[in-house]
Amino acid sequence: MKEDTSFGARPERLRRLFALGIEDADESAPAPAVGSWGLSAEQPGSRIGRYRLLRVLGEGGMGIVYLAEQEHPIQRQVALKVIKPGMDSQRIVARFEAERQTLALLDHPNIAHVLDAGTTEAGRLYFVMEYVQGLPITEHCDRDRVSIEGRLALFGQVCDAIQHAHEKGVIHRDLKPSNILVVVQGGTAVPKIIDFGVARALSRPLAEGALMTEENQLVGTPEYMSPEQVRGGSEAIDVRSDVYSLGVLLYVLLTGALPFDPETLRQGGPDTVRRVLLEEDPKTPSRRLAALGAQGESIAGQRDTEVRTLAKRLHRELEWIPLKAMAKDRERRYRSAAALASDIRSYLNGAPLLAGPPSRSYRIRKFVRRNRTLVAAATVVALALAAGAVVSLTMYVRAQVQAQRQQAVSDLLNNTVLAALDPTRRQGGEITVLSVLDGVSDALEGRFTDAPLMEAEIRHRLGMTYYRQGAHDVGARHLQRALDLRRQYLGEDDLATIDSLFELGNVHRRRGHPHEGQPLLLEAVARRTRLLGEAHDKTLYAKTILATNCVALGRHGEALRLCQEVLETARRAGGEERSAAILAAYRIGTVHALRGNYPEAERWIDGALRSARRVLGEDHSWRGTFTDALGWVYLLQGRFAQSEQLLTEAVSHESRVFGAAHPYTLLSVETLVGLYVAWDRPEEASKWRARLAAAKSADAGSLAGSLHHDAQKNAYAIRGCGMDIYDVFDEFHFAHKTLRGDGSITARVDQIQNTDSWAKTGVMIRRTLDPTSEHASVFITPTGVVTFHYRQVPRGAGFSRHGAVGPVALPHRVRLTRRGATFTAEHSADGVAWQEVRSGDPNQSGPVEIAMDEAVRVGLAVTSHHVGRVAEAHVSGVALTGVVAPEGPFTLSEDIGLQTITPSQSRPVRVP
Amino acid sequence: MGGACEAFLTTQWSLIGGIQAADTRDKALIGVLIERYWKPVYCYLRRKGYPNEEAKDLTQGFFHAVVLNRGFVGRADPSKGHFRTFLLHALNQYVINESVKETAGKRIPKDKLVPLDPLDPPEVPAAVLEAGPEDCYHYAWMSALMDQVLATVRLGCRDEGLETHWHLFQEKVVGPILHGVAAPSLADLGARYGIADPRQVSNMIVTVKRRFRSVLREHVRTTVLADEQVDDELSEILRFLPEIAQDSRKTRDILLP
Repeated sequence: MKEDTSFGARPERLRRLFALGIEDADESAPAPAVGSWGLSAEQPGSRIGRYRLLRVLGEGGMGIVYLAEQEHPIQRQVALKVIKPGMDSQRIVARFEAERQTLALLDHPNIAHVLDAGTTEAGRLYFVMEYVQGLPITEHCDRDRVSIEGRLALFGQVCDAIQHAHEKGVIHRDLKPSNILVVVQGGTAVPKIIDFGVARALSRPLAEGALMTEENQLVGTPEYMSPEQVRGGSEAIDVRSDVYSLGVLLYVLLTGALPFDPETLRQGGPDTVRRVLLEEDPKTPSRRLAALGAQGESIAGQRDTEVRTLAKRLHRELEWIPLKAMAKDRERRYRSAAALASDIRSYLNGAPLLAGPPSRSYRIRKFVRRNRTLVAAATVVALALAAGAVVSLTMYVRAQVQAQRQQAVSDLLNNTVLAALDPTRRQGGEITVLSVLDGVSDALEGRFTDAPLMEAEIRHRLGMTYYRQGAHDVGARHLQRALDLRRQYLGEDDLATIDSLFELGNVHRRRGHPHEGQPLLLEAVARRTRLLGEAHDKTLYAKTILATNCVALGRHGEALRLCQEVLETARRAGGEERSAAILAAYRIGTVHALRGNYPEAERWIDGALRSARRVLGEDHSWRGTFTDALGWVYLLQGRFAQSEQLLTEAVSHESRVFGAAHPYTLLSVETLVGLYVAWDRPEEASKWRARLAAAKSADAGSLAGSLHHDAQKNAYAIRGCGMDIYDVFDEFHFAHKTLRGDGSITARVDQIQNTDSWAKTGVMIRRTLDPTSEHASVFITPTGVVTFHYRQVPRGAGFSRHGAVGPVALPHRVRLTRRGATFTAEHSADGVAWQEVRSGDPNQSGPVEIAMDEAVRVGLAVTSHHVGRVAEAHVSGVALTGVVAPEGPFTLSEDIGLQTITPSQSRPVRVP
Repeated sequence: MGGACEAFLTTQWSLIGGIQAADTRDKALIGVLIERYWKPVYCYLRRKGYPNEEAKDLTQGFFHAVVLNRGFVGRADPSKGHFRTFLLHALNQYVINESVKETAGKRIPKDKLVPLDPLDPPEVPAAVLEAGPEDCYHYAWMSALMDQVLATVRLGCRDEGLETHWHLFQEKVVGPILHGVAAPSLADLGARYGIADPRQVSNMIVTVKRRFRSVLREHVRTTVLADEQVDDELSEILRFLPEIAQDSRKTRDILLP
């Protein structure tokens, strides 16, 4: 058996080893009588681990809870829950351990800590929790005849605690009165939530929140389960599931009865549960109370009031709150526990509520359905307004006092924007924002030849709108034209000209041409500093974007410097809450992540995310990007559960704000695929990748790669498709041979066709053909950017270094050399003078160390960076040194990546 | 102050045995120190921000300075007498000095250094990385100490023909703790190693456990100045380790806007 090292072990485990060396060695568990193997040995008085069982506290569906005493290193009483046999203990402990890091972050007066977990001698799973001596919240309130106000106050505290947990990334999933105990400390009632993390650890991995355990036992408490938990399946459970449970709890606290009859649920079995919870609407609290008849009197008594008063209070506004929290469609629930708590407080203060009466939303929904086209049209016009066309134009026009112009503008709008909606004029085709923009774009041609500045204004707005829709190339064209016009008619130092200058630089960055963007951004920053001052919002923002562009060029040090300057300036000018400062903080975080400095990265990005949500609002577009980045940093650290949380949140946010098929959303989906690959969940990875493929338009024709060798010219045409070569796994087409020991591969890239600017082709040395394998590669993109890509650990993060020298012209040569575990990347224009592929960051240059086997794969690679499209590269002058087999030209090539994995046959990956 | 330093180095030195010539002796001592304590120093330097190669150089340079330049160490703040914290203070001092020296180019030339084993940089868990360089140092120290203890126990068992004892201890105790998994039952282990009575299995494990305990104390003893301080140091270790997870939380909360 391989010897273990304690190095790298989690601190708690290392601690247990030390504790082992201190405790009295004679006290280890005496061997029990042989006959009792396998049977429960847990009796009060016996020991489990370092806990001595005192008495039974209670028994539930999942197991027995004991009161136990802990001796080492502190003496205290704990609640120890032993889970029934039959649940897969080892796996669950492993899952629980994964949760524990997160759970350790929970620090709230109303949350009981889960302290420990393990297995007994007999192999049964146990959890150790803070011992909370109290009654379930519903019982406590009834016994003490707590008033409505009192109940709401307690409930508010519970919401705050849940919010705290949600912010730390933990969802309870099993909120119910028996998990919320009220302790009376010094005359005050303090609610304590217990059993965090337990439900998650016990549920079946793929069917999150499914009703059944392995043994087909009903898990969870159906009365409190959210519809999505009941539905099971692939939907990710998010914080709103807890909000639902809280809603049910509030319902019970207010009315003394459950929204759905528990007898019906329990007797009917899972199908009934599903039907009732997914389809039936609960009776409103006031009606429920009325239906209870005589019992209503005692219920009211328990709330220290009369039936009539209670009914009236409920009917007016109070009952809307639990009903909103319990909405079947989670989009319509409170977004967070904090929002729920806030509405409660609003109610207590007499302020208006977020929740509305059920009938109102019903009416709105009906209206929308009946007037869909009208609503759509209104949206599009609003869009055009948002694009600012009308506002600035009318202002300009007013200055000119030209009635004719006004007519021209309204003609423009009438004929284009609104015509796009008119089915008779539209000639079929969907109404999309892009098609409307295209209509406006076409209409512009030749219309404003005598009003160049108006044309410039419209083109500027149009370019921006295209850009925001992800159509970068088109947007760039319009912005370029706007810039040219403004330079000509307004001059270089006009603020409007500089606006176009800046936006164009930004778009170039976004479309993958950072070298083109750099001079524009530099100029924009310089001019704005001079004209507006260094502390102006627009200057700071431009500087932050310039920093981002530097990152794209690999110039990390410079990017950091610029961002620090932005923060400094903002701080001096008295406001770190300005959006440029928030963005700068985020940018610093991402640079740290790129450098592998994850704790720093997390600190900065998390901070920026919080600021953004607080200052800019929950629906600001940056929230999605920042959340995605933070999820990515967690992924790189192997904190998969937390990463999943954030990335799915990012995807859902971006789907909502941008659209499910928007490029930003799809970027987050790509990261999510990477997460599932790293987490070794190939089914989920494939599922999300399929969604990616569905969203990106797939051209007709084969998406499989191919290799063709022209013997006369000794050149190759290699075609391939795939997501990219970067991050946790690669997708590309690979022509390869075997290399033993040291060696090198050189190639001349002549041309790359039909692609994204991020497509790439070049040479690669790879340990195995697995998509998550280690590799070192030198690539060129169609825009002539030379990069050194590598992955040092299977399923680990991939890194890349961009050339610091400007883009090269094709044809261009690349070379990759292996000496032992050292890989060197070089490039050359003429094949004579070679230089290393340098990074823009002097701290990250030079050869890279990657441990591989003696025999590795060496060859040519191409990827299209586009799930639905194939890129074709032409490569010649291929030369190999070292012990390479077979001889002769490349003949063997294949597709590598997730697209070739079907869920049933994931390739095994060697775990580092 | 030189007194405490001398005492420590003498203790370390006593582990090697006699070598006559002065400079071979020093070199051997440096070698011992490096072998035992390079990981915490290296991790500290990496966490401070030094890249791999530079951290290795500095690690070697540091141990050279400690042994060769007693006066240098003398300037370090005398701690309670635990070598672990003592070395960290010296290291702090060294880092400060080195960044001054760097401009003057006065480092010990590379070829004169006692070589550092070209091992892979050790993996420090994320929770530890979140804490500062000093915490990384302490963690790495404790972990390296634990590894040395385990190795000593293992070799001791082997030398006395108690291999099976060691394997049982490994499978029942060490492995499950390190990997966080359930331990096999005594009956299972007995079946696999051909021991009929689970009670005997249990006793064999206890034997190794006792040995583990005394070896741990021995090793800790070489890092403190007096017998009475062993428990003290062990308590400090126990106090420190779970604190790591909490410390990082503290840091993050302070920094949140």
